[in-house]
Amino acid sequence: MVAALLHRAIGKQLTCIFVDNGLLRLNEGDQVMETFARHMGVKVIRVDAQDRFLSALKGVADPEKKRKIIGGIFIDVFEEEAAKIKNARWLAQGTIYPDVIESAAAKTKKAHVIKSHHNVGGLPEKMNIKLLEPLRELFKDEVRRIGEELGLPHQMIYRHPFPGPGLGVRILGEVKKEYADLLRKADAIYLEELYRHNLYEKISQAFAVFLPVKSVAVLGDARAYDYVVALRAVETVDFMTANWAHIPYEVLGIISNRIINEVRGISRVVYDISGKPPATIEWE
Amino acid sequence: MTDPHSQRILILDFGSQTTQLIARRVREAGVYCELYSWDTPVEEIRKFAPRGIILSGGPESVTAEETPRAPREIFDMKIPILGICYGQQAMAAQLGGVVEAGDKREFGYARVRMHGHSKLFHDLRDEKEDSGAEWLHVWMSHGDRVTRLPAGFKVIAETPTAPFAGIAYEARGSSGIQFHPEVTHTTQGRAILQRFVHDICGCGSLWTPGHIIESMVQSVRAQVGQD
Repeated sequence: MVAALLHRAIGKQLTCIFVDNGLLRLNEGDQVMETFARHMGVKVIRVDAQDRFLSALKGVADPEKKRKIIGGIFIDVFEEEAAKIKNARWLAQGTIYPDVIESAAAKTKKAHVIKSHHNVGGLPEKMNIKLLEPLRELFKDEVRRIGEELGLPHQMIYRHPFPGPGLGVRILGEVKKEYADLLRKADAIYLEELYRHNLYEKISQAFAVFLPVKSVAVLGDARAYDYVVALRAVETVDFMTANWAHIPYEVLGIISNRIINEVRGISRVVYDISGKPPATIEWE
Repeated sequence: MTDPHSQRILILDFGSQTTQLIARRVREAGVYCELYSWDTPVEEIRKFAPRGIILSGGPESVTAEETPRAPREIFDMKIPILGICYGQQAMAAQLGGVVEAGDKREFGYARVRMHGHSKLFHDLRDEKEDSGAEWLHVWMSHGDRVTRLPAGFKVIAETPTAPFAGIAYEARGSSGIQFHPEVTHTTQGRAILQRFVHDICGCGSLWTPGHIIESMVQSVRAQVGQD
């Protein structure tokens, strides 16, 4: 949304840097390039940094450490690429009005339960660059209406939130390419079926989680010992509290069947029926 | 081009869980608004130059000492003010009325009987009896209530437990309501807020996607220039 708006405002002065960290959903990188570079004519530099992220994550199981590593490398990669652009003076960020309200409240003693929002951490100070936040006056639903007015694809506007560390926090424990590939396939089937059954937009957020445990299955006549995937779907207004979504059993059945049949390496699918609180929406 | 920010509303936040919903409803009505904390210095409020101010609800009690109040000067700014729940009570207390802790609290659904064709509720109703009595279906969440009106105000709505569920000083365009118009459970809530921002404060519907984009594009260009 920010990119589309900036493109309209300043055209060729805009360069987007898209960091592929290897933890994106299936075909997501290609879709981003397709939408921005091909359809909208935005200048996008795609950086394939998969190996860098994955090798840094090797052997790391602690969720907070994983988040820090992913965030840190993102900043490094972004900085390196931005340095190649002559005279980059501004960095755009997708801050929206609720973030502004929360940050303002956090500065005074009136803050109750508030977290700070910094999409890019301390990057601006470090790079001597100024911050541009074109959406900072808008609520999320207004951002969506503006996206429609700008002619962005419907699917992109109504996409569920996706965490910054991506699949890195949806693979429990250590992150490996093998796990990410399995999860990507399972997640894609899950979302595809939600779209097909007209459930995607009724649900606030849905995704698959990779569990690095193996369970026994009998596939054909052979005994297999394969991984488990958990499906999560929640309904919420504000993401502060959430109920697990009551997806019809038949649909869950279809999803489970397809994942087990089509994703070699996964032999069991479970559905998460925990509400928030206490269970957070993401697993890590 | 018309700047979509030019006709705007200020919401003074007393800390209610639903303050952001007030802002959402005002924006949906096509009017730009911002949320400021109740203790914002009055100079900043003047600088913002709103056409009207909404005082939000809040978790505290006006009957206790040292609880939040609006900056006194806003009541002399000659712009309409709408107090909601705690905001109504604070406004009433600051203008010389009395607020007391009721022995009965009201949470959730309530029927409010309207009086005397107020500007705020004009033509809005959920129920009408043969006797002519007209009612709104609203959502309440309060323990305290206004028990004596400040000078110049009259009653525009009541419930058995909140005799001053709606009050107004129409010559000034100021009103106070005990219920929450920002939640969808208050059937006419959206219409009441539209009434306030459009008809009472005189804001047009300038905050539209087209205008917003145009204004953002201009402001990005102004900021970035040739950098």
